Amino acid sequence: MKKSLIALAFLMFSCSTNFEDPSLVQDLRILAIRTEPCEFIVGKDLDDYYFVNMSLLLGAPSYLVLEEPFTCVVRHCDITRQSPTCEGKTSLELRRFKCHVGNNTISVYIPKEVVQEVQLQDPTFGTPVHSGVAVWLEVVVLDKNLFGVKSVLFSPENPKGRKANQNPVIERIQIDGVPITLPLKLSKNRPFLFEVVPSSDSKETKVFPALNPPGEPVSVTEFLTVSFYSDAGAFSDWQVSDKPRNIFEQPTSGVKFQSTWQIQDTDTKSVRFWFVLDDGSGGLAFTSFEADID
Amino acid sequence: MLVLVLRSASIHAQESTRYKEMKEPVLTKPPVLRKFVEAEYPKEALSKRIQGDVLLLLDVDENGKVVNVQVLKGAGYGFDESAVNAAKQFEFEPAEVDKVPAPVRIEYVYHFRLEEVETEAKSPARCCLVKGRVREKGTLVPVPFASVFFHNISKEVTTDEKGRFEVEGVQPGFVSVTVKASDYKPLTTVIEVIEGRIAETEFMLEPLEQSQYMTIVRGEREKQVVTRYSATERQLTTVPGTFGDPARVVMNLPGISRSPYILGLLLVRGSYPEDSLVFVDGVEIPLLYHFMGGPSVLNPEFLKRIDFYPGNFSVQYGRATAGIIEVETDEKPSEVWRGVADINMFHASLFLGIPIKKSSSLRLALRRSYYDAIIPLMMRAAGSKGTSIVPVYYDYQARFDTELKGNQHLAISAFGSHDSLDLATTEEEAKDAISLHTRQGFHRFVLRHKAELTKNLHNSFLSSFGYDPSSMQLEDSSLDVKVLSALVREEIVHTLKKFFSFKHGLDFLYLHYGYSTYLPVTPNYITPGETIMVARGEGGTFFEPSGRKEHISRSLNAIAVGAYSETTFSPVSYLKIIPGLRLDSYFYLGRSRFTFDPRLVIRFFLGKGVTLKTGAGIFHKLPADYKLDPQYGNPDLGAEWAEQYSLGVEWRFLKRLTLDVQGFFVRRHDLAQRSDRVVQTTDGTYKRLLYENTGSGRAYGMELLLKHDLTERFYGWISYTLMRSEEKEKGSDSYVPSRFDQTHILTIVASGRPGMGFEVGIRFRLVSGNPETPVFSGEFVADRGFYLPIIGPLRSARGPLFHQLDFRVEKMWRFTRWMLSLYLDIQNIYNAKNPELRMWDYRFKKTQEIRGLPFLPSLGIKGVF
Repeated sequence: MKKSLIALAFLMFSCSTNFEDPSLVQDLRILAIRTEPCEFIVGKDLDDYYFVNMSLLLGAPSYLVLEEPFTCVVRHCDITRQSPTCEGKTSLELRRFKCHVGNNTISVYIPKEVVQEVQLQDPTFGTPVHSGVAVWLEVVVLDKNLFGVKSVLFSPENPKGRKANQNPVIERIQIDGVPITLPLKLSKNRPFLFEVVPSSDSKETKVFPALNPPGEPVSVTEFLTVSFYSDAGAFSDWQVSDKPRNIFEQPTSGVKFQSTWQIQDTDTKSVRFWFVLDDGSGGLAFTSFEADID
Repeated sequence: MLVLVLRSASIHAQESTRYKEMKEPVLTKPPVLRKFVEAEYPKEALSKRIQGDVLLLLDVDENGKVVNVQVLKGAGYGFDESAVNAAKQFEFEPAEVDKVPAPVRIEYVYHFRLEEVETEAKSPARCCLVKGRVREKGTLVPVPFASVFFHNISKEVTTDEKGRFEVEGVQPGFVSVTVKASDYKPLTTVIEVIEGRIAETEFMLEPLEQSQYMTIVRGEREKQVVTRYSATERQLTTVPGTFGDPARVVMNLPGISRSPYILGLLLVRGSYPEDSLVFVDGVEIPLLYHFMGGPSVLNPEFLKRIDFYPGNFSVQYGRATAGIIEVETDEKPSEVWRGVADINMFHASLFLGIPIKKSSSLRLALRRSYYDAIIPLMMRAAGSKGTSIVPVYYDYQARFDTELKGNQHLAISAFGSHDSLDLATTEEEAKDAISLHTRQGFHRFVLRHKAELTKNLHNSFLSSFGYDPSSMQLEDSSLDVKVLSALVREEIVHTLKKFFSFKHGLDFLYLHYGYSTYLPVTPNYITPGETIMVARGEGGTFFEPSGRKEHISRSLNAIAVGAYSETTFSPVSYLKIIPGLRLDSYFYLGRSRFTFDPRLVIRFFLGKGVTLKTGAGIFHKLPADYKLDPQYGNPDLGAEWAEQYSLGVEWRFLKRLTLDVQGFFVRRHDLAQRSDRVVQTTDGTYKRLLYENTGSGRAYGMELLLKHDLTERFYGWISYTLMRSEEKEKGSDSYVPSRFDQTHILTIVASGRPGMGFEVGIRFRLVSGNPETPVFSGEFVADRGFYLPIIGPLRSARGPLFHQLDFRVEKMWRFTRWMLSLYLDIQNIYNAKNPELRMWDYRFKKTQEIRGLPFLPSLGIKGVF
């Protein structure tokens, strides 16, 4: 315990660097991957296939000329923290499709065998404390070497009455307290306070089976995080969350998901914005629009 | 005239003597000239009215007979031969070493004078008694066996062990006196002797280029281990790049990996810091260095020597699987008042040595940093605003020593250290905005008693009490730990026969942990996909993601009992076999663990200064205490253990040069590693294991030390380690380099005294880069909007080579009653970049190296009185 004090004390403080701002989209990036549903409640007998509607959000600056469409692949393999990719592993390709900058929506079918294999790898599967497994799907933009992973949860009805997690919903976007209307015009050299307002039921309270006493219901409230992106200008905060920033902070309530954006003197005529809302448990929502610059 | 230098013939002939437990020999009685033979005055010199002095080196045997005479400095004109002839006929009362008649070698100056020997009838009135003392200039240490010659009466006396002398019959008036002693510059001065009064006087001799740290080398300590590297006194404080810090000298010895920045982590043969232990006079201390690369927690003035055992250490040390550092403080009672004040850019320290009565003394030391005062001043002076974290530390040592009747020694000491991290800021609002409260410290109270019960039986008893408080507060989280400890150790060394001795010991350690925390709890549920969905800094699966915290107050007790026995067997003079056995038992949280450590060392002297050595042994320890914690660890963890093997040779191939080479192989088992496993317990509940004994590792390589002995003018060494340290994760078949694996570690240290009070030194290091895991790109984790690195094989790449040159220069001025030193210690004199860390951008596309310490000078001033 004593020796970890020094390590803990330094967790808060890290070296400063000159890296680019993550909120600024300067090349082609995967900004969001959403599946509907994001979670299945399953029994002992699995269905032959589980169908999900996958939305892949690819962002790129408007000034970037790209040869579209790209080739995208969805595949499944054993994803770990040490090896979070299917590259170099045996994987199962679930879908191959043409994709482009913007929102790409496709259907993906997850076979029962995949779910079974993942369940069997979980040592708590079949026990009262089993809370579910994550089937990881990797999305690859082949031509561009972009990789992203997204989970689809398969959970038992444990405790009884447990409901599947729902994707959150972005109710509206506000600028300086006023809901935006499109088309949108923004001025140079002044700050704009953007706010993402989730719907009231986006923040769910889930129930998990406890380890001790085994299977007893434990209520856990989700944390929401909003990521702010633009292809020009700068946001003051890339991600805003009501989750504690580190293990020492208390969670705060009533957090407003706000970030200030500003663009300096520029020849840019328009700016693309993307906003992604996640609930930390696999649920996701996003929206995007373009604004003209005065 | 007699000038005595202690040179024990038996020490230089130790190669052919039987090994036995030796403490350093002590001259208990100098030789006394019993029969003086007048030398014949050479005719040539007489005719020319020439006088002369011949410096002779006499070998006097244990019977007082002169067996050899050499001329060290002749005078010509036949004086040399005449002096030699006379000296060969001298007879002495033999000298005694450890109260036993022993051969000695002495310097003797034979003066040839043409003045008539005074008789009572012819000489002027000699009334007076002159008493005095001869001391070393600056340190005031008494100079024993110095020659004091009164010219006007041609009489010479020799000072006793305390440097005192007394001579009668000195003429009143101004008297010319010459004082000489080995290793000192001769002094000729004039004193005034007044009739009717006893003249009391003091003569201060200046040493020949010696420092206050120099002691006369009396021979090497006997080795009961495969390898022990030692640094003493002057070496402890003058190695460049160590800022005069003795404990950092150890970092330049073979077997220790380079620690990042100046953190001073003890990384022995690729192991982790928690695998090695540090002892101060037999008492374990938890911290060797202050926070953020600060100095060691011990004031250099207290230290006598530091021994480093890179492996295969004696059974008297337990509960460690890698290396041992044993710091020995000076226990010889101080004979004179002594003080040292040291001020440099980082801290100020004060040391006092106070003699009490005849054979007791008290030593006190205190040190305190002042970063917290200086940094805001520097920031304001530079006109900049900001907030910085600064370490604040102090340490203290106090020690009372006394010699008791019957060859007993009692020492009572107290020492401790305190570290905290505070904010240094030029902005008042930052103090309210940022809450940082991190403290760590330890305190020890030690009672030690040593007794020589008989010539063949030595007993040592130690008891110590400790208090280790630590606390941390960040935002509203807090952790407060207090550990109370009590240690008792009893050891007996028994020499049965000349070639057979035993060492038996028993130690009992009691620990009481009391802690109070307000920290996130370990989750009582499993989140699907949690191993990937948790972002950096969120505590992994350790802490509940909701941030829910709980107050936990707990007290725990632990007991460890160790018993050991070691035999030293020398059936012939050139062979030493040392088998040993250690048994440890641990009682913690209702669980008992027993470990059994057999060890063996063999030393074989081949002759001509060559010794072969080999060792093998088992070493056990419990995992670090935080891994056993019931809340944040796994209290069911078993002991970790290592098997160590080594084979090498020591060779003194020149008088001052030794070469020590050895190969080693270490295998580590049952290492406690992080675990994500959830298991069902016997009572039907489930729990996260957090840690399991699933790790293993190994290290193998070669260590080389080429060393030049400490002399008046020079010391130095070349240390080279060629090593591979690897570890294996659970379920994996292959080894990967461990975190601190460094293939080549080369250190060159040299320090010399060119004269005029200067000491100049350099240290050069060349070390392989640390292992790195290559990162190819980033994988976007859509669930949370962050990236994970896509990496190559774990630690399959290497960072850049590390190289650094450090420099130190010290100038000392010696005044009559005190000394002043000014020193400059410069780290990284050519400002090598030496990246220590690599930072990646958010999606692992770009990287930036964080360099190591830049050019870093430290200026200091030290006064010794």
